[in-house]
Amino acid sequence: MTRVRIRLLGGFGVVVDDDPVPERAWTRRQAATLVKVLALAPRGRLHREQLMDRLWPYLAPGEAAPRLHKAAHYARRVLGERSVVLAGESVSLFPDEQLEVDVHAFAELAGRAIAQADAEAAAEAADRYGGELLPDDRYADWTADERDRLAGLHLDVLRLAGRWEAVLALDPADEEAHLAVVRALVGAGDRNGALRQFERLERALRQELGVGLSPAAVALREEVLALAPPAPAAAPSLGSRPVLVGREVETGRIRSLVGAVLSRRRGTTLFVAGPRGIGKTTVLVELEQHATGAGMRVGTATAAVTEGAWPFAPVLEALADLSRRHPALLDGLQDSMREEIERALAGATDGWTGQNTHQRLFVATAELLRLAAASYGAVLVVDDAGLADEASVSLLHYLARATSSEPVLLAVGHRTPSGSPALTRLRNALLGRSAAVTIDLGPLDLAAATALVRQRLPDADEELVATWHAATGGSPFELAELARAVARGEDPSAPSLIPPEAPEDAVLALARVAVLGLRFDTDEFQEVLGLTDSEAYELLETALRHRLVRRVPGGLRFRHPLLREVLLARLPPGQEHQAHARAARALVTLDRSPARIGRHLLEAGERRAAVPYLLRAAETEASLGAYADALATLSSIESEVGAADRARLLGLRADLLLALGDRAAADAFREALAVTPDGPSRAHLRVGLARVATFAADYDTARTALEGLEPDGGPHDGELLVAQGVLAYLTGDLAAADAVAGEARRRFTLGGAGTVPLLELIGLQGLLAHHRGEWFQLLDSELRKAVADPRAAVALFDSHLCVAEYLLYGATPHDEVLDLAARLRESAERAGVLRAAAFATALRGEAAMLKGDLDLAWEELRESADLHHDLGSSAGEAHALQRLADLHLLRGDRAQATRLATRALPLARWSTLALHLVQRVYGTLIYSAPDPVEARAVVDRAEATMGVDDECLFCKIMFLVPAGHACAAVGDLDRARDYLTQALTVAARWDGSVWQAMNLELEAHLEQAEGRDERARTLLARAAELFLAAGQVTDAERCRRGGRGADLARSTPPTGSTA
Amino acid sequence: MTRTWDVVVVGARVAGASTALLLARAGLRVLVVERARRGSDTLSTHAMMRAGVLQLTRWGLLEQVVAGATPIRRTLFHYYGDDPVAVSIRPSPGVPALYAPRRTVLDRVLSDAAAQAGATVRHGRAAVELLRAPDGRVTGVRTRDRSGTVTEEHARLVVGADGLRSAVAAAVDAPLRWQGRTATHPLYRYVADLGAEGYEWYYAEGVAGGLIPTHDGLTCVFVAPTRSVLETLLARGTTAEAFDAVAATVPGLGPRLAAATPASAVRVAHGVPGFLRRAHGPGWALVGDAGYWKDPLSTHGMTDALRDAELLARAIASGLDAGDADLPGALADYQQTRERLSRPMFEVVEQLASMSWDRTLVQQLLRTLASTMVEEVEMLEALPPWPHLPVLPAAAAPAGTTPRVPVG
Repeated sequence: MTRVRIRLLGGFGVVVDDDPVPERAWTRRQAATLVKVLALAPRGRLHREQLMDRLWPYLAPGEAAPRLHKAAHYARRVLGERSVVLAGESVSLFPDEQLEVDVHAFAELAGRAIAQADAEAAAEAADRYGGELLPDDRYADWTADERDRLAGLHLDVLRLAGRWEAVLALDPADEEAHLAVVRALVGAGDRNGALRQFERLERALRQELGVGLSPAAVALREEVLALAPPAPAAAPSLGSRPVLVGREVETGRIRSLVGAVLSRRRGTTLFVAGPRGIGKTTVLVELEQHATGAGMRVGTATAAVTEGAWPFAPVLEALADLSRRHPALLDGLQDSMREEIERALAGATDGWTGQNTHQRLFVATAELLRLAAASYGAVLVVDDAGLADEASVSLLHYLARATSSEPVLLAVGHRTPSGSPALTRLRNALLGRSAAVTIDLGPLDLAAATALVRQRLPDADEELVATWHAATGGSPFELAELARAVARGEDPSAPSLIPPEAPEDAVLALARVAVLGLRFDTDEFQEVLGLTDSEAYELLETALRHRLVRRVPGGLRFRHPLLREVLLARLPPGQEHQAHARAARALVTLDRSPARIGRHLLEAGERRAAVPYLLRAAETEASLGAYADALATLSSIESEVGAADRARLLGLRADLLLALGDRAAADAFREALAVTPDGPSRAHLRVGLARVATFAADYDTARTALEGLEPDGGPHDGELLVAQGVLAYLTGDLAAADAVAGEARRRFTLGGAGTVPLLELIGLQGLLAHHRGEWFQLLDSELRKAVADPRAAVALFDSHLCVAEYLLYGATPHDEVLDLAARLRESAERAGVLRAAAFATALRGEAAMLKGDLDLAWEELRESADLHHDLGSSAGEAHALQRLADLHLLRGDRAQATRLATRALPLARWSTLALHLVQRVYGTLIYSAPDPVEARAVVDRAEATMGVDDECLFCKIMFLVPAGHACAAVGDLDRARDYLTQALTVAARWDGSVWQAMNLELEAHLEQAEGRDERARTLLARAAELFLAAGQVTDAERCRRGGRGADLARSTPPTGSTA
Repeated sequence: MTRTWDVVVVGARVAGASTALLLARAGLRVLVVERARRGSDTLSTHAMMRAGVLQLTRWGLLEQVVAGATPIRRTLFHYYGDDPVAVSIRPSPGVPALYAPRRTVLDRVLSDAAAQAGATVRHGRAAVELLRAPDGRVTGVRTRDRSGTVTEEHARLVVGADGLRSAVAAAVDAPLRWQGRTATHPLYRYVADLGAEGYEWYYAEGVAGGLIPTHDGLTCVFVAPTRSVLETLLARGTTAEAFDAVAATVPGLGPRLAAATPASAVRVAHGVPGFLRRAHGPGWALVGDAGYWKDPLSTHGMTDALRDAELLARAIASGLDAGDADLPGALADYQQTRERLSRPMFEVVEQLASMSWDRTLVQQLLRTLASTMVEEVEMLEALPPWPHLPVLPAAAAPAGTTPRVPVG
């Protein structure tokens, strides 16, 4: 009998007697797969239908049978005639030989060891586990359950055998294993090793929301800490926290602020600002303690750029802290939202496909914060926010607005000046809408300085304090340091944050570690310095003893940011590069975040080496929706990237620009295409180019880009179909658009390979549905479906702009539009599709404005502009700003209108939707001009700068009508006539809208200018009727009044004519 | 016959049996009287939330209670027929999962544990009257068993744990601190083969429902229509027909129920608006539904009862320990803590039970409800363990016969 050994663990291999079957013998993949499936089955035998179902789950038995025969045929060619035997209804593998499969041998041994709780047998079984089951078939359905079962069994025997390090290598968050390692280390007298193990555990737990050390682990950690307490510091202890002095006013304000947030149940943002060392953190700690005492739920974090391992880090860390303190909150947070936050916490990069996933993260974080705040109130503290990434600031802004009617206090600490334009904008935006307050910390006065010094130095005399007060400019940190130095018997004339008795080599070592950031862990410390365990521990003890660092959950932290800065300054000249290089290599060894590694390499001047890490970092940023940060990361390495990575970089950049709605995306796609070889990536880029070109109405380019591309079962079919559909729609081929959209929809529903940009598809279907009068129902129901579907992508809702205009100026009553848009916004928020929520909010603002409810309009448009800004959607922001400008016009504030429209103009111009937006913005600028002459000049400027591609067939009228009025007002009647003719052509494309009324009003203006008052009155009366019929009362009223000479500078602009 | 106790507890269901158990474990002489038979059933949603399961673990009773019950590891929310929203129930210390035990099991385990801890537990005996001192102070209860035998039981404190329609609360005329206005009117039935994935809650226009997997593979199903709908249906047909008719209006629930097997008759709970009564007075205290009732749509009654039993028992143990003079102060603390923890939930349940929400509002209310639950979990997690005395085997020390020294 032949002995046949089959290996499935760690890879596939067959050995017949002692001869391995060479890999190249398997010319047919299906033949190998057949052998693997049979080998995995008990006794190497399966019912043929079961077998076919595993191999070809999508085929009917009739279609699968011939494939089975073919696969068996090829398997026999490799392994011999009696290797695969079909007998009756069953298929067997080597039925006549001695078959040994490693999986079964391992499972049997492991099962027996576990049943008998036999540690030795477990160790033996663990040794027989050759690795993951069939790693090359990781995505085959038939392996998934078995792989998990075997991996679980492997972990079980490892635990039973007490092989804790091996358990941790597989599951770094296994607390039982960590604690076992800790106990072993404690048993060996290794206190520092045990503490390091706790750091590792806490690190692993950080990626999961609401999970911290168990009570048992906390107790053990306390025990370990108490084992050999470090010698107490020489300075007199003030307890865990110095008493706050000289900040009575600020403390009072904090207390009343907390009280107000709780009693009025309104969200507020507090900015605590001041120069370094002024006590911002101390004030924030005071806030934290007071709020906790008032029953509020608090989470805090500090942003420090060198620690920034992933986008949104400080805000997410504050929320993670909140969840660790109140884990039961997660009983109220839906799984999809928790997973979204955890994905971001882990800095996950699961292949970004250009979709706006961060919107779901925004919604999820807001929900968690609302949940925490409901009934008890919540405080989220982000300190040192000037160092936060741009994405974090956007998220903070969103959270501030999303919780404006909840008892939430966002506390943001930052240095002045913050050095972060994003933070400055956040501050101004929130202060501008009275949604924020500030505490700007100044120096302590002499009395407070005296109190502070005497806390540490009870006998300090007045003269000494006065001298110090003058020398430090009243900086509490420096005063405290001076007092501390004297208390330790040091020379106060040369105060140093570093105690003079601290050994110089320890200080230098810490200086080298300081490049890691404010916080680091023992592993990093040791690796950066290249020390043995005992050397590292000794050095750490020294640092702890001299209070250079202190222990914090998960690691160590420099006593104060200023101390870290002083340490960095101690690095000998030229050593900083080296320190960063060492840090980078240490982080590589420890497999830490690519972003950190890459940034250290940049700092070290090793730009080329940084490329692969920062590329990965940019992919993470993109995947988590930190687009602006991702673009900045890419541009930091652009000049260094080699040929191999160039295509990857340019492709990512193009996707990012498209996601941001930046018109530069078109050129970016072309650039990427120029260096990308044929294959799926290229197809993706061509689709991307087609999408940008379609938005810009450059249909020829779009067509060329898509030419020859056909769905091929690959991952990009969905986006290809949608791009084809949108192009067909916009070029008037509705039948083709409908067919392609239907096909895309079918694939999506079937859950086929790859992603379908679902909401963009919904957008297309929406446009099609609009033709059938079913637009809103469709959007609403689609969004509702998208709620639970993680594949739901986010579309560029801006493509609905035209549809929205039909709706606003068509027959739908404004109240109905308001209501519909509110529902749309609701479902969009639930789905985490904030782009759609922003769009719906703008729509409400527009409807409110047309209806004459200017307060509501202001509120909604303002919110829409902010939300679009946070999402990086310049098109949406431009649109909302332009509408806000219109609103100011209605209120008679031309200057403000001009300001907003001027802000909207560049955003509109550089957005992918320029063709819809630019002309509207110019329309508004014409109306907001201070006098007719200037208005006429705006017309000329517009004509000179609007490109030919700045024209949407419909949206054009938003410029033509105001331009006509402007020309008529200064007597340029020929040009005015010309604009009127063009406007009539546009309006003729859509019968029964208020555009007719707008044109009548313009015509009346012309008739007046030419002295035909009678005719002008008739026209105005008709215009008034049409406006009234459309519910635009203000416009109707103006036409009724406007009996004579509609002097542009004195008349109110028609609300309809700017859109 | 007259006897003297430290505490007489009227009612041996969740709140009463738990209070008696804890007091007995603290070494007090405790009598519990319960009108119903041992192990009898009662109308309930069964659902325990995290704080409730935590209590059973802390008292060492979880395993007994949940043997044979379906562990609940996630909650599904069905809003207006949309795809359900899932929330996983993650294990935490003392709470491996949630459970919704049958009352025949839970109430029996608790009263048996009370007896085993040394309390005298008398089922089938009703409290018929309160005994009072000349100054009006409650000094005990007069009880009567099924045979008509009347006994007088004197006590330093009488605890009313006799439920929603508490006779003790009525006799002492416990003042109302808050009175709600809204109530739902749920119809209940047990169903087999339903395959609920955990707790499943349904909310739609003017109707709510719930699936609560309990013991023996059964699921307790409730549907709650508005009062007018219920009245119309009951005027027209049987309760079972009313149940089916209401279930049919809950999007997504009707077909699931139609495919499952009814395992009991339908019972109707005519809603009672929530209230919070003063929790103590001279010689008396209230716990459980007797003192604090909120609509069952909260599915939080048992959890609160398990929580408040310990708050009350701690107050009593410390109050009596230092001589009766300290008792009023300790009971006042109990009332304050109970109200601090209950008031936010009371308010949100009041709105929930109005059934006049829409899709957005109901989600907001449930978010607030979830948020309020966190507070009690954290409070209980922070409590030190109950001062255990070694529990004597029942054979060695017949229940209720061995007075023990109170521990401090």
